[in-house]
Amino acid sequence: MATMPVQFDEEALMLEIIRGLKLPEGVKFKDLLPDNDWSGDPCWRVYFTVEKQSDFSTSYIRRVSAVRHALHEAMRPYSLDKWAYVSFNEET
Amino acid sequence: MALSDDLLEQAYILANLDQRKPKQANLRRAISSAYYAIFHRLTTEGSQRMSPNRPRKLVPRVARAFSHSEMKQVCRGIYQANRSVVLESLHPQGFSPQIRLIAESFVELQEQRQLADYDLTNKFDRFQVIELLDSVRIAFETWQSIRLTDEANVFLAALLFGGRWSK
Repeated sequence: MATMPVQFDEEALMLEIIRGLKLPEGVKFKDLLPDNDWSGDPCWRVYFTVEKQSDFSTSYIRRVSAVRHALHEAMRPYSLDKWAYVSFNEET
Repeated sequence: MALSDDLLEQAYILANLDQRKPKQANLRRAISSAYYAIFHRLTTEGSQRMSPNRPRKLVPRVARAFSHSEMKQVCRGIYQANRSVVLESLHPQGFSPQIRLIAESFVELQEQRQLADYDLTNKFDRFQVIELLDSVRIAFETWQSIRLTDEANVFLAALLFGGRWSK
């Protein structure tokens, strides 16, 4: 279990966790926003962009999905109250 | 084929319509179908294990007792290892990565389904939707590999009773 200081900046911690993620080629971190989910629970929304391609292979999509899982796994030791909802959007 | 499989198949069909410029209505319905695919997979198995099959109407009635918001809270708790005392006593060794992956997928899809059905300011694109659908497919594959284990029984019971177990 990671040790947390008495007061800490959760956004800074989230950004540090996100920076530590290994992103697949073509995936970039875009934004981290505090919000509430549909039931009113405070949450983070984490946005990544994915380079536009004519076709995405299943293995590529699975590598991208693994980023969400890696983020949640990296958050677990800190016992943060908020869930991080992760979206991967095509670059516009 | 089970309803949950049909719903996921329907989600892929909707997401892949309109090859050039996907319609928001199809992408939104695809997410909604994918959420209900995982919801019905878990509630159908849960109700079948939690209820005798006679009288005939009992199992579907038990299935209706699952609550979306309670299921989300239970899944979050299981994923974040923030479990109730009852759950701790039923499964002291903690849940496997497989159950946690299914719980994670459920939480994500439920929120995306709310956005897809009610938040018209949110715009979806095909990659985003296909990625979510694939995460449900992975959750189904994972569920298949652990569904007959003790921890799967505890997980399903927690989805139904978890809200009361924290009292």
